[in-house]
Amino acid sequence: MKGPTSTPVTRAVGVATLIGLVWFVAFGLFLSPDDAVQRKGVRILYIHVPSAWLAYLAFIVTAVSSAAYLSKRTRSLSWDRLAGASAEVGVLFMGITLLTGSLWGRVSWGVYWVWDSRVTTTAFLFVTYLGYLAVRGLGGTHDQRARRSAVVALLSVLEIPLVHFSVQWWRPLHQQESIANGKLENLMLFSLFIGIIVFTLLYVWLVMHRQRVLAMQDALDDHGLEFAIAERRQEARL
Amino acid sequence: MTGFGVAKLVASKDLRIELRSRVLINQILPFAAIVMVLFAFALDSDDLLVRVAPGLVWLATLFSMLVIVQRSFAVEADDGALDALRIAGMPAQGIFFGKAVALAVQLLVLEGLLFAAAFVLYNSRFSGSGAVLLITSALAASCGLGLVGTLYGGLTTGTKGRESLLPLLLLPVVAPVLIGATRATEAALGVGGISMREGWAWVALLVTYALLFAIGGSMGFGPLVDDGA
Amino acid sequence: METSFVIISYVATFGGIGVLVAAMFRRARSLAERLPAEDRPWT
Repeated sequence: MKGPTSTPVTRAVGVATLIGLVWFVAFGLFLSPDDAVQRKGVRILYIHVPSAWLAYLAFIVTAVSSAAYLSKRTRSLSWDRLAGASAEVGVLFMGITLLTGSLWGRVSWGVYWVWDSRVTTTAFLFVTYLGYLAVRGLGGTHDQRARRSAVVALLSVLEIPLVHFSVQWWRPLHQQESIANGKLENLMLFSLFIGIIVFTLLYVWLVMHRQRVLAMQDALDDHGLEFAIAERRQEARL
Repeated sequence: MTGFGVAKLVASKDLRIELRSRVLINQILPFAAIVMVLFAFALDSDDLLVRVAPGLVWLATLFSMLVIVQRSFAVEADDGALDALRIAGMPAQGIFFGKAVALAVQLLVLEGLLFAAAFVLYNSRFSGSGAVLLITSALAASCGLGLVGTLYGGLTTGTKGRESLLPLLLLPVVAPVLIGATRATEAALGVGGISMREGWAWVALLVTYALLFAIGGSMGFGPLVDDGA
Repeated sequence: METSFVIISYVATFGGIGVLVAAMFRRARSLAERLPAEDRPWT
């Protein structure tokens, strides 16, 4: 796709992602065999596991760039926009993780939801980062937004392990790792592997674009009134 | 002025405002009491009420806390009092701990009433060693809730429309307190099959939580409430 | 049930991503129209 936020790099990543996606769907849906126990349900895992991995990666990126913004030596709004873009993409993948996870749970455990610590922590992470995005939208100057949201992101880093441990302690009998224990065949592992690579590429591509959209949004806010007036004139002429 | 002195001043100021306006006594405590009555209507079983009383008490605490936090910062935001304090050179940490202490004290009063309601309405009972556990866990939980409530209350105060954000930000963060305090209370009241030893382990979680947010809050509160550039 | 759940997963995932990407590009275009080229240092 060619848009105002495209550069040769994003185009290269985008093309690689598209080719990867075709591969991923081919392997995930057709070329890999059914699992002995989970049968077709295993195909949901090819989406579920990579998107969970990416959601967590996205939030690590958000936390690290928030810390980079707060540190005086590296203070720059680019870090703030990277944090925001990464959180937005993270929320998207977190939503996919929760949806595919509950569909997979229904297929293999018979229920959509279990009070497992990983599942519950993921849901909390989702809600916490929706809150983070809401904080980004509170208004004020760009620096205020950046400072506030960076602190909120770092407080979430404090919150998530606490939630995880308390839930784990509350319900100690949780489901074991479904991937590590199961014996996945070579072709299944390969599908999962493609999934992780493709989703990571997709994440990089999305964040690069999204971050530039945020930069344009900030620039537009900075120009403020003069542009708003020009815009109204434009509208009047239409 | 030292941070400690500021904290003491802010806490006593908040509590004095509370004593004079009596919002806690006249509005929030009756609200919490009616919530306890409504729980009884909803659950409609005496045995079940005894079993779930600890969870209901802490759930009612969390919901009432949202109102107290909003009130605690509405007082500051109305005349830009918080900004004035910051401009006067008061350390943010002092303001943070002062408001957190005042909030924790109000929460303790609220919890006292809620437990009394549980004894009267739900017929909850406890032993002597249970009382020690109950009081310790209520203290630890109130400290944690006071700190976190102040932190996110400070963020969502001020501009219009921000207040509705408070529950979304606060409730996920206080989930560990709800779990920990409920389990400790269950141990103290002898319901839910939790031993006293486990109950004390949950208190350890509550203390850890309060300590972590004391550190995080003392660093983060300043940047959060600073509306200047 | 399994087959339909697998299909729902794939369609929801890629459909969801597709919709969001389309919305993002639309937003990018409308912003770019209102901004001079020097506000897009990457081009």
